[in-house]
Amino acid sequence: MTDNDLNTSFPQNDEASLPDNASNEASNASSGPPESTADAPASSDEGNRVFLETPPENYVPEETWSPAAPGEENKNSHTGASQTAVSDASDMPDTARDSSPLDGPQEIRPEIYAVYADCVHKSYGSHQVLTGATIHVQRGDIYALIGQDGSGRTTLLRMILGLTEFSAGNLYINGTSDETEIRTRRSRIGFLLGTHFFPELNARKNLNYYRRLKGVKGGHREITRVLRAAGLDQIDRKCTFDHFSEGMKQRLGIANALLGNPELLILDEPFGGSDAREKERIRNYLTALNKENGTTILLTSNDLTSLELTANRFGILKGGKIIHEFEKSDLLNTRKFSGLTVPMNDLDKACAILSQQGIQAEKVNEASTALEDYFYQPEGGGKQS
Amino acid sequence: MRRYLNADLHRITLKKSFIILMLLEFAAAAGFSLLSISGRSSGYKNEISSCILFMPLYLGTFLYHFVLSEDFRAGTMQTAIGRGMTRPAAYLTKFVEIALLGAFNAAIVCAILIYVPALAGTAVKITDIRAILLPVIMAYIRILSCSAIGMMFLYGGMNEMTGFGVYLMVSSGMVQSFLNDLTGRISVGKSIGKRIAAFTLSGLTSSFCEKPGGNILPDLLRLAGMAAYVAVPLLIGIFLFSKRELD
Repeated sequence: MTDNDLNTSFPQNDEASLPDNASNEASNASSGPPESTADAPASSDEGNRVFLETPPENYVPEETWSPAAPGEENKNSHTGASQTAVSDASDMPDTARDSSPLDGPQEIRPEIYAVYADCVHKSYGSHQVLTGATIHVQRGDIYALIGQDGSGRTTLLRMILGLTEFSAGNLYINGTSDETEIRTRRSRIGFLLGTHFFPELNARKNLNYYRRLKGVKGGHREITRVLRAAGLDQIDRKCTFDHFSEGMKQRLGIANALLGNPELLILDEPFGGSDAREKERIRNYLTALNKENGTTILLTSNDLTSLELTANRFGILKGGKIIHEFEKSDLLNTRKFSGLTVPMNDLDKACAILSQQGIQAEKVNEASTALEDYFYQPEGGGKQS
Repeated sequence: MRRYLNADLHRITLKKSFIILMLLEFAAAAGFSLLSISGRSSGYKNEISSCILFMPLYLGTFLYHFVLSEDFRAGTMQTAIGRGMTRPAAYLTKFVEIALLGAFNAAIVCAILIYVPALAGTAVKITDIRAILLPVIMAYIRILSCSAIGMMFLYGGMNEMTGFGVYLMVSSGMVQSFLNDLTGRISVGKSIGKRIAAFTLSGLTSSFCEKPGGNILPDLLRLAGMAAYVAVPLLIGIFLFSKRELD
């Protein structure tokens, strides 16, 4: 698929309209049990299915594994599957720890990284936000920066963009730490950090302003492309930014970041304010953009489910440091349950068969919530004129 | 810098409210000019001086709003800097925008004040033209200086209201009046106060207008003083801005 295909045929709230391979890749990239049920809006005949979680052979009873700190457990709303966020590097499997460039005396070659922040510090008065954070974002990565509110995620992103100065440490962008070179390379970065636009202008005029500011060629064609990518191309031209919903503002921010096909995208809360279907569309777009254009994406969000489904590498920011970096495959290895979706009518039968085989079903959950099923059914609550 | 200028000037000059305000300003200048032509004993140039005196307040205020306040709220500097522009360049771009739009407006106002009487059948004398041009140029310098001071507070403190408040106080002459009043109240400070007043921007510009071309050295010193009123706040502003967090 060419860049052009990606630009012109992007989804309109419907995965069916995704380019074939983009769609496949989007779903392939997000492997694992949850998305098989949670990702696609449930069709009417899926409504009576249930999701059984079965413990693996090496299952350790819950009391014995180190629990996540309060607030770190993300309950997947679709599956009910408990995805425990790693609270410390010691919680990670050995494979994951081995893969982290933070551990072991490995030679760091900044040139292989799109972004490499080395031991950066930042403090506001006596409050230390970053205390030696080191982040390795390789070219072609979709890197999710995870952390609690106030952990310094946005500060780190701002530092990369030069909007905040760091007290100590080194920053490499595309292998260079030279300030002049970094500035030149920043011209190939698209970013979303908050949604500040001119309130009296519509989406098109706002983007036209930023297109000029960034020196992006292509005029209205380019604006149409990014508006389509953000799902805002159908919006009324009379609708000015101050009348946008939060989700629309966020999507305009994404459209702005996409102007000029940047090599590196830095997105802070790209899923903020969006509904489940929009989130899915944004995820699919980002995944396809990464696969087709090789765009490196560094993103952060409180929506861990979306991050898991989008990213292939993760970094956990805690106590002002990146305490762990790991691959998606490492994450999947930590999953203590796997799922099986069966029709609701066969639930008892399935449980009986599993029981005969010596497998205990740990939890029985609905594959997706009834409300979501109902809302997204064309004939249901989600029926739209 | 060129792209930022291009984007901003394109946005501002196509803005309806900007065009309307500019037209109103020109209409007001033309009206003032027409009313000042006939039957005034003090002469045309003295009559229009009050119109020129308030230029920093009315012209500067709306330039400040369109160029600085709106941009500040929209966070365009973040985009410019995030895309690799240096902070001093981004800061100076905003100042250059004010300088360009201010110069354009001042030139039109000048032209109106000179040509409207001619259209009304009263030709303005050459000496009057000079007497009109000079105060307009001085008013323009005051706009630049007040804007530089306002920007210093806006970007130095990253606070829109503070910057605008300071701009209003400086451009309206409130600060000058306050200083005059303060020094006037202290008996021992009266002579010092008079000297201070001579070195304020208003003092420098008015003395330059009153006695132009007398002695070169004092004129040059006055010009240097005016330039300092523009350059010093700019430099301080750039320094403060370089240390600021951009949210």
